[in-house]
Amino acid sequence: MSHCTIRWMGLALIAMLGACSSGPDIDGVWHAEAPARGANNSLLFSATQPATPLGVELVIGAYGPDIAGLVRYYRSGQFDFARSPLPLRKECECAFLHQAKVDATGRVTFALQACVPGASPESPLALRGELNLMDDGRLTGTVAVDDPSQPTLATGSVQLTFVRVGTAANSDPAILDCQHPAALADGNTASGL
Amino acid sequence: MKRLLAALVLLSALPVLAQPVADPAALRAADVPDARKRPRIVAILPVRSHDVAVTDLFAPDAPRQSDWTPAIEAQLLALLQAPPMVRVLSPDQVRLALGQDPTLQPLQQLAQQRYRQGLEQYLNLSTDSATQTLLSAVEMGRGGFLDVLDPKPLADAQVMLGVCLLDRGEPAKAHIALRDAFAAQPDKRFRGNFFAPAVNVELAKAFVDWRETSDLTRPYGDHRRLHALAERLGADGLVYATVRATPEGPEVWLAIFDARRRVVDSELRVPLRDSAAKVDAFLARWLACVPVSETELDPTTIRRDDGVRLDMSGGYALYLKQPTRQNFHSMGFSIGVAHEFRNGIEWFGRANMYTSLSDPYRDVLHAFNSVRIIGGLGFTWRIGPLRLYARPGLDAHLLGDFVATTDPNCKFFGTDHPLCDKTSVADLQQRLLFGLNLAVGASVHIGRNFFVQAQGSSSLYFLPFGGTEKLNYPTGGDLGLGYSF
Repeated sequence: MSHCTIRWMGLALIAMLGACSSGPDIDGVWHAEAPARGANNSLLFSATQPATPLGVELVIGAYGPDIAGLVRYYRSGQFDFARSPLPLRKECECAFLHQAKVDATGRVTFALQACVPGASPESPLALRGELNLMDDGRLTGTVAVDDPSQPTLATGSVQLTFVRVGTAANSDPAILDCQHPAALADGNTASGL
Repeated sequence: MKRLLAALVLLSALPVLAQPVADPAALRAADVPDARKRPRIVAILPVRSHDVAVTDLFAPDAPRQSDWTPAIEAQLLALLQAPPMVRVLSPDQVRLALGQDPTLQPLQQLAQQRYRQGLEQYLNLSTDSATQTLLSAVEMGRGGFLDVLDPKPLADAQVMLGVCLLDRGEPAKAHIALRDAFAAQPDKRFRGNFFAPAVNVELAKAFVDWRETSDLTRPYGDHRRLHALAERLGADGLVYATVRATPEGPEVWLAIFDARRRVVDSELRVPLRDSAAKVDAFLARWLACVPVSETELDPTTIRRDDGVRLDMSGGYALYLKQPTRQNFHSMGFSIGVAHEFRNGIEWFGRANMYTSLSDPYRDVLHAFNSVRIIGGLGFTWRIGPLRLYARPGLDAHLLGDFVATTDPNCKFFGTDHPLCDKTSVADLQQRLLFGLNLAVGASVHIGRNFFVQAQGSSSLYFLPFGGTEKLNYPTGGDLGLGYSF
């Protein structure tokens, strides 16, 4: 058997295994491109601190069409894609993604069942997000309220654009930490567990 | 990916593994692509030495000039063993073959009995009976190729035949008989007082006549006899030589009888002192012109692989039943050993070490290693150069850290996380599975004792009960290189 034959077989093997990766690459840690600001976004801002800039972090683990992950909020005047030492509200720090999927075009959909920083009252709120992976590598889209039990927020939504700031999100246990032990006043936990 | 590269490096390194010393005899004709080609069989007949001087004919204790025959036989043997597709029968092997030939043995034994009987008859003065008996002994001795196997009894019978014929007043026939005695045993010598002076005179005449007129390129007789001898030996050619003393030094007369064409194909006369190169060229020329014959393979004569076959292969496998939504790939290597202890039946054992990579959806949480031990009895067949086999056996499979789930939360946050659906997790860590395995494959010899082997196999696990429903039916292929000891 010649070396050429063996090389050919090796290349075929590599090609076969190379075809194993599937779907768009959205794994990683994403930060909102610019901290959201202003009182016109009642979904994210507290009535008591309307002008404080807010950072949003999206942590995603993609497994084929399935996604697991979480959303974390930061209060920071200088978000700079760095983690802020000042959480916006300890009770409403983060929320897990539910029913999260990504299709072959890079369209990401997910649901949140948790509090959001600007929502009032701070009880779990159902939201639905839809983001699209753009050609420039950014994720952009809308997170909107999808909760009939909250008629005052039913039309609330926020436009967000995310930039990936890290990969292999689940390599750092701190990034995945979203289990707040303290129950909210209404009996739910902030993370929606 | 590192494991993949390591496997590829291993595969590409296989052909350059160091090869052991060549063993031409181990090349099995049935295993090579030109399986129908048969090595040319060349028999070297015992070298005849004409080193007895006339003056020494009746001085048996006089020192001989020199015994050149061992050196010449060794030289011929070495030169003929070098070329490919040539199988050489040494003079000793020729003698052994003739001595063990069941159809020749009765002739050889009878010839010696007749010689003894004729000798007794001669001593009892029954010359006529002795003549007939000794004639019969000579014919049987020549028919049994005693002149090749052990010429002394034949030469003795011929001498006694000549003596009887002299007594009967037939000197011409006696001369021929005595002359044939020297042809059968050139170094024959006599005590001066053993025979009557008149017999000694005839012996000397016959010896001189033989020395001066014998054809040195035909020491074993005519073409018909040489052809019969070649047939007995199964030889395509007979190489024979005569060495004789000359004033310039010993001289070698070499000839080759082509059994297929039934002619003396080539002849060479060369001084012994510088014979090596000329004899080498002489033999090479002849071999270059002798075609390699092709024969039908006789299944009953095909030699079974009675050696232990060891192979090392790279392998790939996947599981036809798995808890993942897409296939995950397993790659690794295996070491196998097999021994065909009867024609068509072999025992075998195989150890496989696989690394299983995660699937595209990463349902397998992480790559894991596993070890398989397979053993059993196999069946082999030959089709041309291919050696095919089917190997049913038992399979013991120790899984490594195999954990799989389809829940993305289990994958991302870990299987202990509250969001992880524990019912979706298939945890088969360190699970030992038992079942049946069937492998089919083929090997082909690529030279010397090396062979390339490819096989496909599949297993069915049934133990432990209830523990094989999530992962079963590993199926894959191996490609490797082996050596037959």
